[in-house]
Amino acid sequence: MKEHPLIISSPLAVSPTPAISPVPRVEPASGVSPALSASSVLTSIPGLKASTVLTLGSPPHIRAEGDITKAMRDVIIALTPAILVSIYFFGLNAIFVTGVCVLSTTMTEFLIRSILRRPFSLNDGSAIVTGLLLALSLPPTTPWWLCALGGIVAIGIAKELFGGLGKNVFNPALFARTFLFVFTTWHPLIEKYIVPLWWKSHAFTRLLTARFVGNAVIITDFAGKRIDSITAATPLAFARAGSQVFSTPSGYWSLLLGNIGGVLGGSSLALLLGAAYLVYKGHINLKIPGSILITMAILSIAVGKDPIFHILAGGLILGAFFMATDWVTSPVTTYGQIIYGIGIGIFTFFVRNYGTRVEGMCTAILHMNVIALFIDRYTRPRRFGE
Amino acid sequence: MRLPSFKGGIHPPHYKSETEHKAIVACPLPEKIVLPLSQHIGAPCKSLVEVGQHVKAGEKIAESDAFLSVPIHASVSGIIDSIAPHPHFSGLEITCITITPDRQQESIPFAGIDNPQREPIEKLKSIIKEAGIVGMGGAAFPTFVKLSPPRDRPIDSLIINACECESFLTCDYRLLVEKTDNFLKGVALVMKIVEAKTAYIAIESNKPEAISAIRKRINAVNSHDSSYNNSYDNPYDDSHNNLHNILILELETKYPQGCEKQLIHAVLNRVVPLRKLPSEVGVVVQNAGTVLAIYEAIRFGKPLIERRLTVTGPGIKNPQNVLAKLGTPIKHLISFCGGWKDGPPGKIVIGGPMTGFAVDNLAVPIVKGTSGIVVFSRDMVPDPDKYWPCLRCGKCAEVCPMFLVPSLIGYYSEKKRYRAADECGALDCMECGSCAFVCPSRRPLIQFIRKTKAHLMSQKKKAMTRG
Repeated sequence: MKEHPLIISSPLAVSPTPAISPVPRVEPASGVSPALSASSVLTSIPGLKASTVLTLGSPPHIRAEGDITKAMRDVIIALTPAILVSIYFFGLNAIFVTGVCVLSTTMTEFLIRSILRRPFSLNDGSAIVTGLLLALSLPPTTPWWLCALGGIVAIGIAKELFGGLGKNVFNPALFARTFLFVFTTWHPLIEKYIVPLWWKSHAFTRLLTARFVGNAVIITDFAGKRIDSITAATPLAFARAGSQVFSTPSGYWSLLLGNIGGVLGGSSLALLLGAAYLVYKGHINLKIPGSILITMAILSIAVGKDPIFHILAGGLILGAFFMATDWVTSPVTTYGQIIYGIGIGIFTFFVRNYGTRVEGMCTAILHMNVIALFIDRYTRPRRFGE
Repeated sequence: MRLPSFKGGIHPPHYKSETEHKAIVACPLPEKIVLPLSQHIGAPCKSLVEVGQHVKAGEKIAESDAFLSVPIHASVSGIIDSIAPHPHFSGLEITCITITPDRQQESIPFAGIDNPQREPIEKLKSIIKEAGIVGMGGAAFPTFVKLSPPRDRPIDSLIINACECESFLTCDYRLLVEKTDNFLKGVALVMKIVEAKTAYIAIESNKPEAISAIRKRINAVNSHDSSYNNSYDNPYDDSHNNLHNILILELETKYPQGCEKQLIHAVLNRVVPLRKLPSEVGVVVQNAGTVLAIYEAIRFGKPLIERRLTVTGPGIKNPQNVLAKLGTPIKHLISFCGGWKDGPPGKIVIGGPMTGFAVDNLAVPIVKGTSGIVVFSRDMVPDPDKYWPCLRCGKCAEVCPMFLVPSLIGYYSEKKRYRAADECGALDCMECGSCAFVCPSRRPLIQFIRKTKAHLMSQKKKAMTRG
């Protein structure tokens, strides 16, 4: 850009008379823009070129640091520890699943926006966040085409069909996850979980995938070679079967670390670390996660179940801190957020303990997503002085 | 210990360090003085002068018969140059009286009252009206009206708003440090006028110098310090007694601490009912600058012809606090403060950065309510048209000091569903801008709300003319 020498160039002269100090007339520079010159009363501003554009616009004229791009970046940072831990426990598969999910969500967003001629929004990073969250809620052996399908459903249906960023009713990642679970009901490809650190007895770089062979789902590597005796049950499935193995200090420790059979985002500790970062950055507050956790604890104690186990297991931390706090799909008002959290807590508790499925966080959040807007409407705060 | 404050609000960067330690300097006269005929909330004035006529400084040049109006005085002596529409900071052209200052600079004789504490209240109020005093914090509401609460609402407390919660602005801060004595006498005077038993000087914690200056002065007067009595130009007993009831209250530094209802809540823990005035809870609030103007008008007979303002911002070479005649074009003030720093500016704001008006014309004059000029460099001005959809993060509802849900109002306004926006309380918004400040989607929420308000108002007008 050309440098414009400016405006009121000469310093003010000392006034000739003590009574009044008129400003010496500043000679207008050539090329003064008529558009910017004042009305008949005053001469235009010397040196202010036609290309000088002053921005108008409504107040406020200062804004807080950070916009949604930075917020999304912070969410990605917050999810990083959980992803690293999953790579440690599940090997190359964690990277593979995460990669395919993110690639799928971003590509879907790019393609749909191209087709619909909507402005590109990849740079806001929200598609990447959706991809990461989807990956963290899938088992490590999810076949690549299901990961890709999940990404397409998350962005294509749950987000862009509703109008794009900010318009979606459902959390895209959870919508896609539920879709995949329903999709695979007749051959449950994504309900096969593997033991953590399985790669120590095989090879870190070995890629696994769930396959449908005959009437059974088996784990094979990509070459199709069957790999036996590495499947595991999730802690919730253990508990449903009546096992108390995770209600011990060492069990809690395994749950915190993520040293369990389950989805990629199994490490409660790593997730809590990320959540703390988001709270510190002011992107989420503790109203929703807090009320989910407290509801869950109270209900568990009331029926004599282990509250700590129920908080640490089954993706509750992932759901409470990263999915339920999703800005777009959660209520805005303070009371609304608390009601929403309590609703998720109750729902999850009942599905987990009495439902046909062992885990209920995902469905609970999706159901509460539907009524989030209505919760907002009925919990509008009283105005100051009302 | 936590300092008193209100619920909600934001902590914008202060940006006050550039000017808060610089003494207020008088700005030399410009080539032209431009006085808009409407410088206050209420009926605009009608000109009393003609083109070519010579006026003296302090001469009344415009007034109105309407109740809600105050006269306008010539801020300099000189020849009336024109009475014609002229650019105004609102972006409109408003009829202005333009004066070319002369070299003599005579003023009309100012007749002050030596002992105002002994004068009847009604007389003092009429002096305040005749002096053209309006709220100098920015709203520019005629002060005499504010000092005349309904008879059935006795006032027990006067709150002096010395918060100056807007970033960048420091003119009230400097005024309190430099004019402590007259300011306190003004407080005592306003207390008498509204018959308040107690006055609270509410000031944010980021103005320690002002707090200590006021505290020192109050203590000195109250303890009848002999040195103080000697320097006291016009000792009047009533005022001495009154200073015992002037309390200084340090508040948390938080925006918008200076908003009237939030301030009353912070200071007295009283809640002004929605759409009601502070007198409802027995309170009158006055801005610090206004109090000084009231004192100067009554004691020295000086009408409101000049004011202190902060000329600052990253785009100004020499930011400082300035005492300028009303009607001085901002171009002159900017040149007085050294002109632009690092090339052409990106944005020029009249008033504070949270509520002020962006202008594109440097001929715009300062008026009674102008508390500052903030010049932003280009790199500080983002594209106002670039914003994202609402992500419903709820930050706006968290900070709204009126407990509204601004995101919802913005959403409805964008969809032109004004009735729904009205139900969300759009009309109760005081446009502090906290919501838009925190919005991570950078949504122009204040613009949406203003649009809603304008629409609702025009509908109301239509309904009234029909019915």
